[in-house]
Amino acid sequence: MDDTMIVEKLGRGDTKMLKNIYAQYHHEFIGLISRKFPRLKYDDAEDIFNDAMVSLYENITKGKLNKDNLTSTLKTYFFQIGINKTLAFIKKSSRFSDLQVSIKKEQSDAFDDTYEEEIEFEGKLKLVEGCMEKMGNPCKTLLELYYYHKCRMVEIAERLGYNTADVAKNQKAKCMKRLRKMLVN
Amino acid sequence: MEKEIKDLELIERYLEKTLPNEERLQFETRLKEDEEFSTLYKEIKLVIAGVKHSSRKDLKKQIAGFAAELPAFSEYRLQSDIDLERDFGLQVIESNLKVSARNEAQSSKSSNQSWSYGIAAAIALVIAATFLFFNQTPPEKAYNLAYQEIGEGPYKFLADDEDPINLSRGTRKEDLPQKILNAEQQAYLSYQSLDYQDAIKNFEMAKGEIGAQSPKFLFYLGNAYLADDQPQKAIKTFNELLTLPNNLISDYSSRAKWYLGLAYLKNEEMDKAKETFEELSSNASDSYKEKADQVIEEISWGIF
Repeated sequence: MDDTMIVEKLGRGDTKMLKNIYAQYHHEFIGLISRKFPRLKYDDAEDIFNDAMVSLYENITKGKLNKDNLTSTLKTYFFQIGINKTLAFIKKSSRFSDLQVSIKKEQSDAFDDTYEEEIEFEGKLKLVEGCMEKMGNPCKTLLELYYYHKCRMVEIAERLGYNTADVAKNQKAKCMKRLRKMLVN
Repeated sequence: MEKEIKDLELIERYLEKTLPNEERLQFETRLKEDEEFSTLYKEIKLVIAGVKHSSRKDLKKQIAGFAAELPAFSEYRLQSDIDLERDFGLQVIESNLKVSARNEAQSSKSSNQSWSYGIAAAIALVIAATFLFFNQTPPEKAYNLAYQEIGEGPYKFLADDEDPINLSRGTRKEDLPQKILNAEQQAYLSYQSLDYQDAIKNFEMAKGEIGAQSPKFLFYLGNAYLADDQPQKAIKTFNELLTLPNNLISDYSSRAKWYLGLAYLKNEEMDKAKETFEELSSNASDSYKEKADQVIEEISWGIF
């Protein structure tokens, strides 16, 4: 399967594709950064890799990366994200305080994905998380598909078995209302 | 409900910054003037952030679960056409411990274009380089993979190989009166205690003594050389063994060939290494067939 097809599938929220990429890049990426930073623990390297996978996915679902603006191979794009994440980790980790890390601004900008909302709401996010668990399905899945995986209402209706996109949209509004009420109480 | 859906959509679009300018300004005025709307906005903003946060955590968990389905990670098996410094400008300077990522292509280009230029240059390089060099596993990696991972390092001394001094289990070299041992016996002992240099010294002293040309003698000497990073001597010794009459070496021929192949790898004689492993692989009943198959499969031999 070629890169554009993978990007297209991921763009539709097809997370199964991630497994495919994961298998292709995992050992190579971890091997490369472990060699570059021999003191890096395996678990940390794996964590960096997993974060990079999440970022790749989010960049695609947000439309930041799509099949038309992919100028390199997907692998190069992914490794660039991974390297940025590795350097960020090295910078903030006290184990590497003896290392000075710097990275070209243009490059880090291209893959900037600090989660603004997490900084803004901090502890409150845990609360929402708990409410989502309590609320359960189909609301939980519906909201996840819409707000995180950026699926279109038609697709959500199809996946969750609603007759039309409008029914799904209605359901979404109801779920949001329930969630808000749970939070206020 | 109708109004709620409409408001929700409006807030979503505002958050995604897809409202046209005029509507955005209206929206912001309403936020200031309509307290109820402002509360709704804040709640929805929090809920959406929470949904994303929770989804991201779920996704990460899902991704972490993929690891279980992969073969175990081993650095020895690392094969990559990527060079972090060459392709991504990543530099680690050991002496003053400075790490920096730079992209040479960038410094001369404007910042907007630099990334794609850098990548394009890197890709061109990778393609060119891949063709010439990276089709193969570097010899050192190939050796480590075959010797340490597929094989289990130096051959473990086998008590069944007609032990000349009948060591009982747990007997240590130090416990034995040294003078009763001749050089060859001493060599095996050292080999058993993984002191390969001492083993070599004694094997070399024992040369010329009776039994010095026995397959066993040559097999362990060759292994000691290999373990001591002297592949050329190991090759010579294993080949000497393999030219002995067949009826003498039957016990040893298979393992000697395996270690001969490894010695060739170590000595970066990839053609001969491959040839040797293929020989092992072609014999269906060979005890080293499976290992040889694995080596042939896992090493990208490329063009040598």
